[in-house]
Amino acid sequence: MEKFFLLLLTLISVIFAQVPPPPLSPPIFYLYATAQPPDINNLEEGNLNSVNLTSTFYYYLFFSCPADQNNVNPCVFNFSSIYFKAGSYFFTICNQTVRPNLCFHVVEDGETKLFLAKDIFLYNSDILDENGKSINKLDLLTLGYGVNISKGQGWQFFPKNEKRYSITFYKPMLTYTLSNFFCKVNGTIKDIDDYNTFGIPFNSFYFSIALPNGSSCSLSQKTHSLEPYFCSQDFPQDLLNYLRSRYSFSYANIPPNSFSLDFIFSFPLKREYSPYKIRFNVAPYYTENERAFTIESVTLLCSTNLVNYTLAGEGKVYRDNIEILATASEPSRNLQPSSFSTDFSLNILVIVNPNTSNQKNLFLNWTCLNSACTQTDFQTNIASNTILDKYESFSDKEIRTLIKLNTSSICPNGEKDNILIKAKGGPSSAGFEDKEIELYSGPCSGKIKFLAEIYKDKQKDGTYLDFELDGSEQNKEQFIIIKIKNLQNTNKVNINLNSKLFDGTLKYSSFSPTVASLPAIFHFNTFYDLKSLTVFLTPVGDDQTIFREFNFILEKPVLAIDKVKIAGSPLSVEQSQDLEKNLRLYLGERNEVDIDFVFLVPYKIKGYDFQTSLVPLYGGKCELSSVSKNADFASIKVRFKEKGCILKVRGVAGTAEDKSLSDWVSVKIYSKGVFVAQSPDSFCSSNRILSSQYFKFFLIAFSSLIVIIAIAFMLGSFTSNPRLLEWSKREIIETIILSLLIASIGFFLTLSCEKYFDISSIMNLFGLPQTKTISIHTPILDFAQQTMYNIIERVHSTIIILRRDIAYFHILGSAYTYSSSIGELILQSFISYFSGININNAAGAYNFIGVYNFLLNLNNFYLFNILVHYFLLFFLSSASGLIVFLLPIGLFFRCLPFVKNVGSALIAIGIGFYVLFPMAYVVYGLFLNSTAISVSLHCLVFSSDELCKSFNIYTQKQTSQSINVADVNKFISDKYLYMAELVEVGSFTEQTFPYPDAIFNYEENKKTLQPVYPVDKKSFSPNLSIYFGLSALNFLLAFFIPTIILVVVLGFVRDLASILGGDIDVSKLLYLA
Amino acid sequence: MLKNIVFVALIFIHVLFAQSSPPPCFFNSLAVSISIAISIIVLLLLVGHLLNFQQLKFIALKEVESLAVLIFFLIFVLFSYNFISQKLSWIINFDPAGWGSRFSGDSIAEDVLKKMAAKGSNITIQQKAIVLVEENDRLLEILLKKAISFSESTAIEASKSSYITFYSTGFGTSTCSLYSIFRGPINLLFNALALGSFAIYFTKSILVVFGQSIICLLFPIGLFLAFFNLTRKAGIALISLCLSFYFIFPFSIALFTDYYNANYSKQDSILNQKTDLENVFPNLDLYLRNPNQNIPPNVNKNRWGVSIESYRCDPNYYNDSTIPDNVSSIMDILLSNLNKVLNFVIVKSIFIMLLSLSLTISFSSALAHALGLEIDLSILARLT
Repeated sequence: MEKFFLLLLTLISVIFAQVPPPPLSPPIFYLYATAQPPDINNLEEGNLNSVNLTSTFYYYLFFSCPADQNNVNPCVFNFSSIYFKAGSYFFTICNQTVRPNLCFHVVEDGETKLFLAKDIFLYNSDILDENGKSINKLDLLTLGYGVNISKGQGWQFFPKNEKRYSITFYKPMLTYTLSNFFCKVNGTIKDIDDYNTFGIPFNSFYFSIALPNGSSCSLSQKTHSLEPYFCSQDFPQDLLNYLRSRYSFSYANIPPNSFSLDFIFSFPLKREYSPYKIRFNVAPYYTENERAFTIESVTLLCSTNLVNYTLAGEGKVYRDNIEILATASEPSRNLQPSSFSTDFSLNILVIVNPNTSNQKNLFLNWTCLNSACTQTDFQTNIASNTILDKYESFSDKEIRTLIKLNTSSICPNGEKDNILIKAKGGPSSAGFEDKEIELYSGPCSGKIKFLAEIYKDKQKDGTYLDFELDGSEQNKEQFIIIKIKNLQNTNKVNINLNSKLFDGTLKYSSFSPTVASLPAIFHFNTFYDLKSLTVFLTPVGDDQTIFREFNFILEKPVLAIDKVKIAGSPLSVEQSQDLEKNLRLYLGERNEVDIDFVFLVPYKIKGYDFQTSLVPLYGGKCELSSVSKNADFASIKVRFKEKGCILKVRGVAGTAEDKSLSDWVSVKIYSKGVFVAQSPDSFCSSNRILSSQYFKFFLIAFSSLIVIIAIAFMLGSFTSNPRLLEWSKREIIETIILSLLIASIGFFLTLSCEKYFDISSIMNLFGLPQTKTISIHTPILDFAQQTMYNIIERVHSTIIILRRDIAYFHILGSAYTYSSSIGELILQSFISYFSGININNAAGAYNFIGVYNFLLNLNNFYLFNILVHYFLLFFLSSASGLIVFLLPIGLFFRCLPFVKNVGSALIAIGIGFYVLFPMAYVVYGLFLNSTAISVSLHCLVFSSDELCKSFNIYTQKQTSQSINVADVNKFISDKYLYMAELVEVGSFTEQTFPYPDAIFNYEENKKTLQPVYPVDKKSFSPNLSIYFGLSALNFLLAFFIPTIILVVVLGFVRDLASILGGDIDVSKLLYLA
Repeated sequence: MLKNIVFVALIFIHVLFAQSSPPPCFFNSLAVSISIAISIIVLLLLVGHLLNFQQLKFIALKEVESLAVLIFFLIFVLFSYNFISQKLSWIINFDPAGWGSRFSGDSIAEDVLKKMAAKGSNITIQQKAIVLVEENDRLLEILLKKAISFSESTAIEASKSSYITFYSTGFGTSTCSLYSIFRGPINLLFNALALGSFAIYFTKSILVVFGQSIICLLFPIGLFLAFFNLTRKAGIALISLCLSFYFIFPFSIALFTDYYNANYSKQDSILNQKTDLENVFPNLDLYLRNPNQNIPPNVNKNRWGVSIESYRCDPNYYNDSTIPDNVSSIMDILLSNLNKVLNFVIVKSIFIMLLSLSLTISFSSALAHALGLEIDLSILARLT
């Protein structure tokens, strides 16, 4: 029975051990296919934007094998490492058992082989004969995995042995909508003569890209760059620049008589370019020496991400009827099995005269359960003959309905009536909410009314285009084409279509011709200047185009540079050379640039770390203004009003000036160096006493223990003392356990600084998502130390600001004194009579000192706490820390009967703090570095931050994908919090501080009696809530969670001590917190 | 035996009703933990069997028992965390329509409130708590702005002085320095607001941090630790804290805040309506910030014909008789309203946070004891 039980347990263990943990990577889907067999002659295109794997579909795979000299080599296809990955699931088996599976068969010579696919990509290859003529274009579309086509390896081609492979994808249970393509093109060329080495390939070929709006661009490769060869004007400049910036090439392993070149570029495709159709052509190009070479292969590799389910539709108002097309399709969110229900609902509501008491409506409702759709509700108070035609189609992941309504019955009064059409629907599964879109809103008929306006919204930091199209002449379909010219600065283009109409119906309408009903309002939110914009209105069937082009901007654009990167070393007193590079402000066509940034520049002189001090800027004609506060930090505002202005910069070391002759303005900055705290050395970089000498100590203690036990045993035997014998026997067993334990722990003890067991191991163990903000190959102890140090820096930064502000308030409260001498000089009567009023217009600053002191005390306490933990880490957890002492001594004490508990406690404390304490901080650090957490914490305090606009605190989810990990990183490491020091609350003017004019010598008095205004005459108040929030955050980071970590570690210590035979009350140690 | 069966049956019934599945991120650590733990047990059993070492076998069987309890506990939490959150949320039935106006302009907040008001909504207790705390935050923000404005204005008034010289001989008066008596109450106000704001931010941080990371990060790690004999105590401590802060803390916050709103919302009226306090703040504010606004009717004019609002201090040496009246009337208004403000800050922000924290830690202590942890987690209550 016992054996049976043992066998059963072993079996269970084996089964469990073999279950691979599902990966936690974000959903990535690599598939580029259509559900139809491909048209071989026209393979370069496909609707890559959306692939609906709703049924069994086919993939044809054609390989051709060009002949080699002997005509004997067969085609060799190496599929061994192919598998298929969708979302979070691996589809590793071809049985539809537990999870939806996707696999394919390859039929080779009548024998069916089963393959699993991974990283499927389009493969495009032209095989050319000796004359450069294409002999076979069959092998345009293949499926493969990372296979380079080259002679002698992997794939070989011989035309006489041509084989065809068909791959069948069995019905998957998923529907995906794809977006965000990342493409990479790989290619090889060959037949380069021996003496043509580097020079030839670099100007030897070009390739072209065609976009769905008809624009295309060809690029040719120059020596070290990719240059546009021929590009149509409407090809997006930003895409071109992006391609050029991301282009790279490599060459290696050049075999004889050939040359291999990889040209790789990748670009994220944004919504504007969708539906995405892109074509890559690579053609041979004769060199100066008239030596041809041949392109052997081109590979296009694309990937994409999944997006949520869609509710789409459009309403079109024709002369006689209205067409409504609405679609709800299944989401693929999280790819959880529960979300694969086929439960859908779709409602359509048509309201005639929505704003009047004469309102009529028509309500249609479909519910689809397991692909069977029923019309569950139908309510109308419109004439029964309204619906002319109705067509519904559905699949297991989609419901689609097309309705035609009779306009004569619902719009009897013609253009006076309004129609409002809405659609609502989505999956009925748990976790999804209905989306609602407005398909059409407007009159039954009308004339085209065209209003447009481009304006700049400073607060939202974007250029907006509003235009309104009101009705159409003939109630026909309208085409709206919007072209944006002169988009500059290609790093970020964020164009959101935010309109009632386009929100649901037309997702990708900015660069592609789209069909729209009227009226429509577009909001273009870009980070760039919209310099010109063209809007075409083209009625269907009519060649006449209503055209209007805007080349003006109503308000001059203001480029807001939120962050100026400062490169190089700033000047010290001794070294005053190269700060010109530090500030480069691109003015472009603009006349005015606002810059607001925080200035703190670290640099090194002779190995010592410095940072800049007060760096005020003063302007000449440019009317620069500065807000600078004290020696550590300065907030500067610069305004350039014209080109070529003279900039004066005054620093501690002197004054410099520069004249900007071009668009680029160089600013020289002088600064004085002050010491900045140096980062601590890594704990791991200390002498590795533990790894080298740990076993030595252990052996000494262990030998003494054995000696003691042996002596006790001998004494016991000699004196026949049973107690001694009993004791020594018990000790022998415990010693064996202990030695095993310590020998195994000794292995772990050396791990904390090892490269082969870094935090990536821990992340893999728990399946944590990778984040870009941390280097995953950091040793454990280093990462724990870095986590603590980041928190220390953060709390310390808060303290620095508080200290600085307290001093600032003292100075502010006393320095800016309004002295209004309301003199009445009656010089005519020779009587000298003066009276006046003094006002300290910043006296309120004093009042804040109290609360700042309060916050300072709190933060000092938190800093103290986290420092205690930091020193604990150093003292107990570092390689040369206390464990070197604790373990051998504990071991030794453990051997002695009276101090056994002490020994166990020492060992437990040593191991607990050495192993679990840094590990807990590693987890804490990973936790802080996870994007969701850091964004949440950041946005709690800085809710008005740009980063947080897409963050929803209530559902704790990002409302868009736009949050950048690099931005999030600022939360941990950057001095980001300095941005929110003061808020402008008003201004001091002569109206707010009126003073009566002097009767005599008015002008002079005015000059001398001008109150000492703060900078810009503005009144600032401290942004107290930010400081409160920061302090609360510091409490959480530096006090609350570290204390919890301590509790967890002490739990471990308690456990270990009891196992070792000592019972200690470690809860007293909690008072460390 | 019967107890155990009932326990297991209850869990299964619960899982059946809850109908939600754990996210896939959880399975990773679960698979790792279970496989390692079972491997260790099997190894112990094997060695014990081969060496005929009964104690090893005993330890292994004991481990099986502990693991079984843990796994059932795990199933309970995993399949029902969402269910429990929503159930807890239904207990608290506050009327969000009543204070929708405070969130006007915030479309996301309005959306959440709308969903809360809808019958049978899926709002979890964590979301509900955050909305309630967020509302407190907004009220506090309004208070803070008023207090800053008041503080600055009175300080400027207090700094006024006047002088007169006649043939190089003269004197100065600083009658307006009487206004500096406001500094004491204002400091008190600021400190109270700091504490209140501190409590609110801390509450929000806890809600967000534990709400986000409980299922996919903290709980799996605790579970992983709890699966092994050596680290079981550490894991149990972590699990208890996590679950308490995930369920009990937001529930307690929402419950008490809602109770306060239902029974003492009149105290908040100072924040909703024009009151004496608000009349004082903007009027002094007006003087500094917005010169173009119409001067209120109760103005007097000084010697040079400049309009001065009645609460402003006229520092002229000959005109000091009106100052005590102004000061005493402002002080009356300030103190009577300060009382309400402190009540709001201390009770609604600080006390509820402390109470919730104590409850949560007590609960986690009890849970940890139930799961077999000897360390008294309630020592964490010192954090409060």
